[in-house]
Amino acid sequence: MSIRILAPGFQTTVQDRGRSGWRALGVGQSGAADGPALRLGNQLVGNGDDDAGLELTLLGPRLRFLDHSFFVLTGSDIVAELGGRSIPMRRPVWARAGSELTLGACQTGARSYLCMAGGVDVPPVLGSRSTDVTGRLGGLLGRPLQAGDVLPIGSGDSARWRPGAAIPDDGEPFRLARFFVQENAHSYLTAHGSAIVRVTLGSHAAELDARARAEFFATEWQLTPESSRMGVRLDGAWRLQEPLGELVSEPLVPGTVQLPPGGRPIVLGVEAPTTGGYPRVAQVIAADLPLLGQLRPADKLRFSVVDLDAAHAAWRLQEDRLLRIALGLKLRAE
Amino acid sequence: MRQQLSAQIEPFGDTAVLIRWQQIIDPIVNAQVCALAADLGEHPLAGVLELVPSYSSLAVLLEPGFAAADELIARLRERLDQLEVSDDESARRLITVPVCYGGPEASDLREVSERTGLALEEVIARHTAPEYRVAMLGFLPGFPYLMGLDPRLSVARKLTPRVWVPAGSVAIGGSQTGIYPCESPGGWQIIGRTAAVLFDARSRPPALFCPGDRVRFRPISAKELPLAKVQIQ
Repeated sequence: MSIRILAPGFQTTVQDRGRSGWRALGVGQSGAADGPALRLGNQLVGNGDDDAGLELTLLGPRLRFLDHSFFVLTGSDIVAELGGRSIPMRRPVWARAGSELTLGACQTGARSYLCMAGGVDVPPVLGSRSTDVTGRLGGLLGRPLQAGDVLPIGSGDSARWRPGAAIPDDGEPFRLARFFVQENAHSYLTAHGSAIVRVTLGSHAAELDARARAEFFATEWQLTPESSRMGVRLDGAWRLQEPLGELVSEPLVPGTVQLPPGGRPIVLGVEAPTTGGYPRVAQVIAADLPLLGQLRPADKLRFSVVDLDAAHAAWRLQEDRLLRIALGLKLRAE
Repeated sequence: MRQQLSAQIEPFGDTAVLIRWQQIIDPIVNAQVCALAADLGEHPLAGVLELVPSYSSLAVLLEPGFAAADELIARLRERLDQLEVSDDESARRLITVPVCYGGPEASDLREVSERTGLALEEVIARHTAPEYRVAMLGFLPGFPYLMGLDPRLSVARKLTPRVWVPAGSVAIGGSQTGIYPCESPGGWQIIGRTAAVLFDARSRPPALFCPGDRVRFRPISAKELPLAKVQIQ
């Protein structure tokens, strides 16, 4: 089974839940910027949590299914047409071999996910199929997809949903599954003003004086166009009076809020480098990393400082929600 | 055995813990970082997913949802207090890397010579003289940060980073020196090239270097470059 990319979109990459165990060698995590959206997509088509899908950024690709396929779109709402007809989000679709999927602009966030039964079957590199664009690892040749690429898709013969077999021979180019998920795995706040991104304080927050710190966390920030999977760059009215200086390089993780001498923060994303030397004033909580992955250039955000207990509670809440959705789908399918 | 240096242990967000020694570039501090990482690698603590050593810090990444950071910090404190750091230099590998200094592509050797006031030959001699220590890997897969650079060779990074730095470029950034494992943009001053493979995802281990390794550079001619081999002792 395979698909052919006809037009690549803005940046389309193969992603799974990410790479772990190799940071000490300088190999970062990578993986879906909105992890819960990929996980939901995998659940909807009967894949495992480790399977890979395509991450579509801002503007999606155009592609052809070379075999009968069973797929779903999750993450940001995105303009999507299969064989010229509009298809919904979070509702699996049986597509005939040869049909063409045209994806347009992401509507509510920065990234959508295309998950196909069987998963994108590129060879795992260091335990993951995720594309690390900076490290040139994983995915298809370690790079974003290009026109003409043919991607292998796993056989997808899960006991629950057999692609192909379920398409009636009625001449229609596709059929929608009866089941779907109403809401996203987490809410995207960007359409209605500022996103609230919860953080805990970083090692160097204490080096800002009380007033500068209070003003930093009260500032409304805006994402600049240089934002990417590596990190989002922010601009705002806040000014750093005295640079905190450059430090000896220390470990970094996705969600680290760095404050370079220029005073414009960088919030590291899933493709964060493993080490770096800028002061770390805050750390985005795990539950809000997917939201970070959905912010688009010109979107606004504010930080909200929480303690570790609140961070863990938020994570459990998100996890419970995903597990409930997974359970519901399992019951529906049986 | 060596006297224990003090370190702080603090939460690093809700998914990691950070152990921080005095924040300096120093082989004794780095040896402590490496020793604790090795100890935790050999005798893992519950809830720990991954260890990331740097010059003078060690990040301990936790399993998703692991909420007992306080308890883990207490366990880490015990390990740190009981840590034995070996002084045995000969136990660490010595890796000799052949380097062709200068060259036609993307070279800043002349600029480094002008900025330091040292002749080209003197820059090369001073870069090949010391035995370096791999303090950490980072920035790119397999990129070694080497400590031990002759202070006279310390030059600031380029004001505007190069858009393209070839794989195998040997470079100086401030008081550090390192080697680019793959082509990449980069701001360090490039003084030479090696054909050594620093990172291959199919190999085990995938990286040529690991923190704690000793490194020497051996000057070679452009003609020798393609075939000169890395020596590991």
